[in-house]
Amino acid sequence: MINKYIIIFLLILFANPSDAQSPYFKKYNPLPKSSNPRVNLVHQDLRGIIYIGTETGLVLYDGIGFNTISGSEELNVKAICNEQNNGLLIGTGKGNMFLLINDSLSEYKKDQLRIESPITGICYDKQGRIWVSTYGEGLYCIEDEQITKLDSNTGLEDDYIYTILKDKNEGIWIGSDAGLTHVGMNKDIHNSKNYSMSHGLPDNIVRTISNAYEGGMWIGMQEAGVCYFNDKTETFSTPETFKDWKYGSVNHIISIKNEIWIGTDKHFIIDYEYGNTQRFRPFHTDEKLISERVNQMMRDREGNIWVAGASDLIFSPGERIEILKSVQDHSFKNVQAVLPLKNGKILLSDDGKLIEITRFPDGSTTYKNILSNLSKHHFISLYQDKTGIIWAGSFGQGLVLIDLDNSSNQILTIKNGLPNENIFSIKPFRNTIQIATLSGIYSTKLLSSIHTPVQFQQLPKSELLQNKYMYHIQPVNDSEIWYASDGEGVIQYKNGRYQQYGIGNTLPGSVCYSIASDKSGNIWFASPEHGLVKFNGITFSVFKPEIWKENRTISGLVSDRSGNLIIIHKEGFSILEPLTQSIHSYNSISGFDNFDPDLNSFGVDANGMVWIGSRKGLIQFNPETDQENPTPGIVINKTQIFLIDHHIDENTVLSYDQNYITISYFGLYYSDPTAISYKYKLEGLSDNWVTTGDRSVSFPNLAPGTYVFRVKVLIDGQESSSQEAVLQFIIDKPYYKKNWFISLLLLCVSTMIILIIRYRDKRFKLEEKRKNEQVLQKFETLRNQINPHFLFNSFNTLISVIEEDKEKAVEYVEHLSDYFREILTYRDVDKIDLETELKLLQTYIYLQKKRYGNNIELNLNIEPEKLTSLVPPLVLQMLVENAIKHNVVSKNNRLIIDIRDQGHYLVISNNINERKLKQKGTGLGLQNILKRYQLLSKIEIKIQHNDQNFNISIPLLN
Amino acid sequence: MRLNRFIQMRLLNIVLICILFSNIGFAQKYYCKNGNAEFSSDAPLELIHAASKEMQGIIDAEKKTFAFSISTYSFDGFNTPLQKEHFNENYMESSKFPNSSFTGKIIEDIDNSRDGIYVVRTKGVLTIHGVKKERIIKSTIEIKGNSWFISSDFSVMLDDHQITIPRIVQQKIASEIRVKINAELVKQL
Repeated sequence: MINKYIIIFLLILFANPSDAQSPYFKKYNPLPKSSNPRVNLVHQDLRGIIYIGTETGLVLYDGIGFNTISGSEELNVKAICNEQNNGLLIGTGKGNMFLLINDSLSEYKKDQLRIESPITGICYDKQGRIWVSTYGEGLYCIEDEQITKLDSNTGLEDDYIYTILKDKNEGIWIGSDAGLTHVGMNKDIHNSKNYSMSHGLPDNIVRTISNAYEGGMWIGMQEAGVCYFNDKTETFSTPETFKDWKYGSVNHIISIKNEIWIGTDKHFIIDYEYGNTQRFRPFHTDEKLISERVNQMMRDREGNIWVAGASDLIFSPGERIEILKSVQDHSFKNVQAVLPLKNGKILLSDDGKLIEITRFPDGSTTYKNILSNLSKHHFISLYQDKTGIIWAGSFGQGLVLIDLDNSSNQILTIKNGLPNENIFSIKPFRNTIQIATLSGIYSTKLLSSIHTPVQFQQLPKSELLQNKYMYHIQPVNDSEIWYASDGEGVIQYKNGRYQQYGIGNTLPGSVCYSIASDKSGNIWFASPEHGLVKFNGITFSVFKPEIWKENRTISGLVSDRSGNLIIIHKEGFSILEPLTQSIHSYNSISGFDNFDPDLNSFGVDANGMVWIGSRKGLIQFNPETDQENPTPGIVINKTQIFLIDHHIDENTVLSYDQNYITISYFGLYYSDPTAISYKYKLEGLSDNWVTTGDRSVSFPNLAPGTYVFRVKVLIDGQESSSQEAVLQFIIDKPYYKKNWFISLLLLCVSTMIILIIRYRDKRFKLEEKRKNEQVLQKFETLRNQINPHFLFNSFNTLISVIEEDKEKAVEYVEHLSDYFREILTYRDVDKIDLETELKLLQTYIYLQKKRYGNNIELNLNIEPEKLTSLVPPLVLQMLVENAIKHNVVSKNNRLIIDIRDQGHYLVISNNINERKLKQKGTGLGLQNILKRYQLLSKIEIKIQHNDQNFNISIPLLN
Repeated sequence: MRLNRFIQMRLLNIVLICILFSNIGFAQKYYCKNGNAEFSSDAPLELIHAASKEMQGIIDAEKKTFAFSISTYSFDGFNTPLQKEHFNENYMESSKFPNSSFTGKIIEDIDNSRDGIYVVRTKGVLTIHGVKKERIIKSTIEIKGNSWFISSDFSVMLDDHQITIPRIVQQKIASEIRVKINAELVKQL
C-alpha cells in the first residue's frame, strides 16, 4: 500500500511538463520580411480589426495577411488606444503620438506635445480627456488644446509609469515604482490617491493593471506576482497560490470569467482558475519560441487570445479549448471513445487500451491502465450507469462491465449470451440499458452489482430494429428515443410506436451516424448523404450549409448543457446555436489539422465540459465561458472609381460619368478566416442579395441615382447575426438631364425660332422691296432707253448714215435692234455676268460712237478671270449713259471712260466737262443703281469725284 | 595620475551632492564611510577577482534616493599586474570611463528610526564602461543607530555594457561578472 502511494507520489513529482493540458498556441510572423520581429502589443479597434504594434511599425492583420501601415515603418509602437472616430491613437518609444484614420497616419498635436520619454499607455477618460503615461516624464493629460503635465514636481509619486488603465467606472489608474495610483479623481486632473506597500500592496513595482471580470482589478508586479485589488473596499488580497511567487516579473494579465492568464517576463503564460475548482498552472506551447517573454496579451471579440511575445506573435483560440496530446509516457494515437466519469476522471479508449486519466490542479495528468490483462480490446462505446458500473462496448470483442473501485470486471461475449460482439452505442432508457450492435438493438435491466448475470433481449414489437447495423441510440425523454442505422434510415420510438424515416431517398437518408436533440426540441442527424439534417417534430430539412456533406463528414453530434449543438467532423468541430443559427468553428486554425475523430467519440462531463477524442489527442472544450457567440466584423476599406482609389462616403455625390465603382471590404473572423464568405446587395440597382467569396465587387455603368451598398459576412455559408457594413452614395444626373440645362436649352431654342421667324420676315420684306425696286428699275430702264432723246438722236444718226453709206445704215439699224432686244432680254434678270454686260455696253457704245464719232473713248482693262463675276444688268450702260448726259462731248472735249477691275470692285471713271444745260431725267439713273445694289449686296458703292474726274466703284458680285 | 584621480573623485563627490541635495532642505542624508566593492569572473579557465575600498555613496532616506560611485582604477588584487593592465586598458577603458556608478531610488519603505534588517529593491541606472542600463538590484540594509550597513550581490552582463572581450580570451572571462558590495554609511548630523 505504501509502495503504491510512493509510486503515485513519484509519478506526480516527475510528471513531464509536456503532459500538461494546455490551450493550443500557434506562432505568426507579423513582419514577414523580418526574421526577428519585435512585437510590443496587439490591439483590436472598434471595428474589430487587429493591429500589431512592433518596434518597426504598426501592422494590420485582416485574417489573411499582415500589412504594415505605410509611414509607420520607423515607429516603435508602444501604446495604442481607440480614438472616437474609428481611428487609433498611437504612442511610440520616442515619445511621439500619431493618429491613424482611414489608413492614413499623421502626427498628433505635433507642435504642442513635447514628450521625450517612451509612451507606455494612452486612454480616454469619461470627460473625453486623453491620458498619456510615459516612462520618465510622468503623466500628460490632454483636454482639447490644453495639455497638463503631472510628474514628481506636481506631486505624482513617480515619473516612471509602466501602465495605465481605465477601470469599469472610467476612472484612470496608473502603475509605477511607487505602487498603484488613482488619478484624475472626481473629474479633477490634480486629484490623485496612491496605494503602496503601506496600504497592503505586496510589491511597490506595479507593472500591469487589469480590470477583473468580476469587478476590481488584478495587479501584476515585478517581484510579488499577482494580487487582487478591491476598489470598493480599497483592500489588496493575494490568492494563496501566488504567495511565494517564483515566475518573475508579471508583464500583463487578462481576466476571463473565473480565470486569469498571466503573461510573465521569463515563463510565458501562467493560468489561474478560481471558479469551482482552483487551478494554477504554467501553459506550454509546442511552438519554438525565441523567448518566453510575454509583453502583452489581447483577447479578441471572438475569444481568441493574441500574445505579443518578445519576438513572436502567438495566437490561441483561447481558454475554451485545451488539448491533451499525451499522458506521461502514453501519447494518444487515436482516441476512439471518451467517457467523463462522475468522479471527475476521464476514461478513454486509445489504441486498444482503456485508460483512466487523473488531472491535477497544476494541469499535470497521470493515467492508469484499466483491464491491462485484456490484450487489444478496441472499445468504441463507453457508458457509466447510475451505480457507477462502466459498460465498455468493443468492436468485435464483446462487452465488458467494469467496477473501477474494486478493479473487477465481467466480460460478455456470444459465448455467455451477448447477441452481438460489435457494440457502437450504450444508452439508458427508462430503467433499462440499450445497446446498438451490428445485429440490432438489445436491452437489459439495470444491474445491482457487477456480478449480476446479464440478459439481453430484443425490444418488444421492434421488428424495425432487428438484424440491422445500428450506430447510435439517442434517448430524448422517457417516452421518446431515436436509433440510427446503416442502410435503414432512422427509427423513432415514441409513445409506444415505432416509425422509420429516411428510406428511399427521403430525409434524413438511409445512413445515419449520430443523433442529438437541442434546446428547442429539434432532433439533428448526421447523414453522410445529406450532411446535417434537422427534424422539428413534423418535417425533416437539410440544414445549410452544404459544407457538412462535402468536406466535413460529421462523425458525432452532441448537445452541450445549454442546448447548443456541437458538430464533430473530420476537420474539427463547430458549435451551432439553434435559435440564431450562428456557427462558430474550430478547425486547423485552432490546431485541429488531422483531427479525424472516431464515430461518437465524445462525452459531456458534470461541469459541462465537452470531451472529444481524436487522432490529435483528447480535446477539452468549454462551451460555457463568458464569450458570447462572436459576431464577425465587416469593414469597407476601399472604394475605387474606374479602378482608381477614390474615397466615397454618405456625403459623396459622384458625377454621372463616375459610374464604374469598385467597393473592397473584408470580414473579420480570426477564428477561421477561411470560413468567411460574403453577401452583398446594391439597393438602387437590385434588391437581391448576392453571395460571393470575393473581397471586392465592381459595379460598371451605374445609372444616376441613390445607391446603398450593404455587405454581410457569412461563416461556413451561414448568416450569423453579423453586423452589416453600409455605404451610401449618389450618382448625379448628367447635366443634360438637369432642370437648369433643360430650361436653358428651351430658352435657346425658342430664341432661335424667334430669330429665324424675324429673319424670314425681314427677308420677305426685303424681297418684296427688291421686287418693287426691280419693277421700278425695269420701268426706269425702259423709260431711259426709249426716251425720245435717245430715239431722236439715234434716228438723226441713222439719217446721216443712210445718206453716206447704205450698208452701214443697215448695220446700224441691226445694232439698234440688237440693243433693244437685249434690253428686253435682260430686264427681268437680277444679275448677269460681266462678259455679257460688257457686250451690251459695246453695242451701246457702237450706237453712241456713230453719233459722237471718236469724241468718246472707252478703255476696258479687266482681268479675264473677273469676267465671270456678276453685276446687275445694264448697270454699266446706265453709268456710261450718265457720263454722256452730264458731260460735253465734242472734238475739243473728248469724253474718256475707263473701266477697270480693282479687287472686288469694278471702277468706272470719266473726265468731267460738265454740260451747262442738263438733260432731262438726270440723277435718277445713279439713284436707281444705288438702290439695286443695296438689295443685292452689303458692299456699298463708292463714288469719288473732283474737278477733273468722276469715279464710281461698283462691287463685283458672286 | 594620482592627482588626476583625486580631482576626479572630488568632482564626482560634488556632482553626487548636487544631484541629491539640489532641492532638499532638511533631508536625512547618509554618507559612505567604508565602501567596498569586489567582483569575480568565473570563467572556465581562470578565476579573476579584484576589489576596491574606494566606493563613494550617499543615501537620502527621506526621498529614498541614492547615488554610489567607484573609480575603476581603484580595483586591485588581480592575479597579475598584466591582468590589471588589461582590465583597465582593454576592457574597462578606464582612461575614457574612469568611474562606474549606480544612482536611483529605493522601492521599499524603510523605517530608519528602528534598528533592523531590511531587504529592499533598488532601481536605478547602472553606468559601467560609459553605458547606462536600468537595473533593479536587491540589497540588504541593516540599520544600527546612525549607521546603515548595506550589502548587495548582483551580476553584470558584459554585453549589457558593451564590454567586448577578444575571442582568444573568451574562455578566461565569463560573460557574466558577479559583483558584491559592502558599505557602511553614517548619518550626517
